[in-house]
Amino acid sequence: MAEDSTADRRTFLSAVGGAAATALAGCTGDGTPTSDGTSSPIPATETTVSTPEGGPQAGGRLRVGFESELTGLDPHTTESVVSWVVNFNICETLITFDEGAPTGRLATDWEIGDDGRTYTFTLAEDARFHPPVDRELVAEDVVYSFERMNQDGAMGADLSAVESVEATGEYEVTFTLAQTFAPFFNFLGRVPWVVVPEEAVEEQGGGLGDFQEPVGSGPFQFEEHEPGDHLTLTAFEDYREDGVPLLDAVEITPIPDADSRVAALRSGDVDMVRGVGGSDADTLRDDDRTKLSRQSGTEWGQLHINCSEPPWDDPAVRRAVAHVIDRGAIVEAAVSGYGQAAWQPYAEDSIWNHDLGDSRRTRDVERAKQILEDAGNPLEGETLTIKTNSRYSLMETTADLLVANLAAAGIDAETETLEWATQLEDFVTGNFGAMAFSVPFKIDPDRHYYGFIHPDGSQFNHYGEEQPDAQRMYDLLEQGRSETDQEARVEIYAEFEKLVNKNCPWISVARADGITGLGSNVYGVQPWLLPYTRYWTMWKGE
Amino acid sequence: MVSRLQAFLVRRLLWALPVLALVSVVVFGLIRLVPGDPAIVMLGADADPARLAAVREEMGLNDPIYVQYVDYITDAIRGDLGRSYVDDQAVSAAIASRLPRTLFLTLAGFFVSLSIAIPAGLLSATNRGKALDGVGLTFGLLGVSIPNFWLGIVLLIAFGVNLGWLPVAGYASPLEDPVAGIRYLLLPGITLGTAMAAVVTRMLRSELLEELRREYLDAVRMKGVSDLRVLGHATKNAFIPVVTVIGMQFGYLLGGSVVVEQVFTIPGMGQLLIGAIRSRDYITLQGVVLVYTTFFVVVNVVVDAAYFYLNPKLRGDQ
Repeated sequence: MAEDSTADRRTFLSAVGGAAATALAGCTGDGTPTSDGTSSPIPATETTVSTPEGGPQAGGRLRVGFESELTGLDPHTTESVVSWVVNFNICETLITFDEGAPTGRLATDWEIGDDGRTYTFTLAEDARFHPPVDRELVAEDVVYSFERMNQDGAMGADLSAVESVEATGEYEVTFTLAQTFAPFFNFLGRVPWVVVPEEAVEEQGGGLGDFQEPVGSGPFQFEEHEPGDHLTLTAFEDYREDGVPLLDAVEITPIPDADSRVAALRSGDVDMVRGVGGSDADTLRDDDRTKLSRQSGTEWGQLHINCSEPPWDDPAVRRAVAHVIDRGAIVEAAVSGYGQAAWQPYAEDSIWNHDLGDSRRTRDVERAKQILEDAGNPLEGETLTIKTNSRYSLMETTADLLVANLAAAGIDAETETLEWATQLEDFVTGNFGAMAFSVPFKIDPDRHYYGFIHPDGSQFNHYGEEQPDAQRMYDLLEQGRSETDQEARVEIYAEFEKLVNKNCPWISVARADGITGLGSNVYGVQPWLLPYTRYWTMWKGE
Repeated sequence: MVSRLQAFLVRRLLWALPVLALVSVVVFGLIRLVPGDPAIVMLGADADPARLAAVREEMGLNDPIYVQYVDYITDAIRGDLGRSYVDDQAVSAAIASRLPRTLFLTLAGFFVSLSIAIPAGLLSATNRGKALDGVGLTFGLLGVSIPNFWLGIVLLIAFGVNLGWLPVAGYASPLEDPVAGIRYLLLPGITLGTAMAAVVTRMLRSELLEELRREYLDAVRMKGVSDLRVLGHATKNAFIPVVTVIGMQFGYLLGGSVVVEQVFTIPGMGQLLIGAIRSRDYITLQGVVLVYTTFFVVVNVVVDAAYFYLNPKLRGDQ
């Protein structure tokens, strides 16, 4: 780090120290797990040790243990969450989110046309690409990046609505959609849609997947990557925000074994670890050398149902099972209470959460029996099979406890434990009646629901036209895509949630928290809407 | 003698070729019988169907299986093990960067095991029925009974987390930084080498006891030779079967390193293998298994050669 930039950083720190400390203090909690359904508007942060006096300190190297290896770093092709985390710190999207609401990142302003088909973004004029490119980022780079990422339709349905991307000024870019597609704007905040310089891509071979040493305009620049061993990011000295990032470098090491990851943090070999299990979380909270950061609702667990497969094609069976599940017990057993019982993917304070009130299908075994009796006892002589895997605790526990809950209600059931890759293939190909499953947090409800239900989506729930309210549910999903007014969309998805609760094409079980372990001298972690850690807000104390 | 040894080695190496060919067929076929689509694993549950189809085509998964095999083996003979499905990187490069780490780990285990086993076996045999023998036998029993993943975690918690003496995760090359390299390899080496040490200790003890009872040593003793020299004569002969066991155990160390690499986060072949299995990265998996097989074959040839050299009967020098 050059002397002058260090001076800049100090100036910034003295200016923002108080504000940063206040902000951090506001997101400090005791980390006590809850399972009663409390949640924050967006996935919330909790750290168990407060910020020390004196505020943020510049400098230092943060050593981070990841839960898996970095498999591919080309931001436009990688499907790995850990690679997205790295890329989010190197490259930048047009927009991002603050307090759950969209805000600019590379874009300073935007305008959405009245017809909902044109999106015009004004770019920051002081964004620069990292060395060796070392030049301004302009509108043509945005055009190039979107053309590159979507060559041969590689982005699939997400970008299929985009008719054209044009540079309408040096720092202005306009997207024109063939038809309105409301989720488009929120999707602009996700990693694959980052802006990269063409010359750096060409230097590395030019093809999709070749850009393994990403160059971007973010707070950190790529330094080196030894596959399987470590990846190093260093602070980008010419980043447009003074004093950002605080750290000099971030060194990432994959530590796939969960026990080893926690041991590495406790021994001080690393300063931060991702993917801490609920059973290890208390250990880290109680150890003086470590603390926790929790982000609520990063994973949504559900019982996925193939509604074309007997006996699950009978709505009465699905409704009865929804009343049998003991969601609270699953949260306790699967994630040691680090999560919430859930009847829908979005937490209670999210705009996408609809208050189902007393109508939600809570545990009520007598009611389940009544539903089955009224339907003519369709499960008599039947044994329900719940597919699951032993790799993910939430899914495994959901299946095990559900089978126990069903047995207690007099319903025969069994689990079928598969290897994860096999279960995933069965999920995609529809080879299941019911399976315990979980999906990560999605930024837009369309991302959850359209693929589950709509005939033009992947239709994972096989919710055919013969099912109750099917056509209305399809219509609502289409409206959710075409309606660009947010309040109207909220109403649309509220009605959709009511129909999900009524007909149970799937049964929501729990939202699990994302838990990060931190050394006691690591500060500034700010979990937020997306599962990408922003290392530029972090710093190390004494 | 040398020419006979050469002929022996050539014969053994020629035998290795059909073994490798057979392994390549079995590995290629078996991993494709395992359910799980690599394209789905790579793209995730909500992948676009068109994108899935495109990725399958790119991976060559739509080609008939015999076409995939012929393509693979043709390239493999030329030294090209293909490119990973997951990150599109050359498998041979991934193996080249990880193999030295696994070999150093295996050597560390080998060194630890022999450092323990040879003195323990000698002391146990020469103190038969005494306390030292009891210690040796107990160690032998514990060593073969304790699973190395458990031992690894216990050592890691004791010496890494609680005492903080040694690092618990990662790797440093002993060639680039010998001190750091040894610090990183010590606990994994002990974890890996303990079971082999136990096996070799028991084997050496029993072979040595048998050897010490032989009549030719009585003749040596009657000539007034010291006990130490008698032990030297006996040990040399007792080592002939022990060398075979040591050689075979080296191969098992290579296999055991898969688990130890996971526990101590050593980015070697074992981690590459597990990652490839989880992601159904057939290409990487085939390459890794072929390399493991080649090592087993080479180790076997070396063991045979050592046995050939040590055993006068086999050489025809009697």
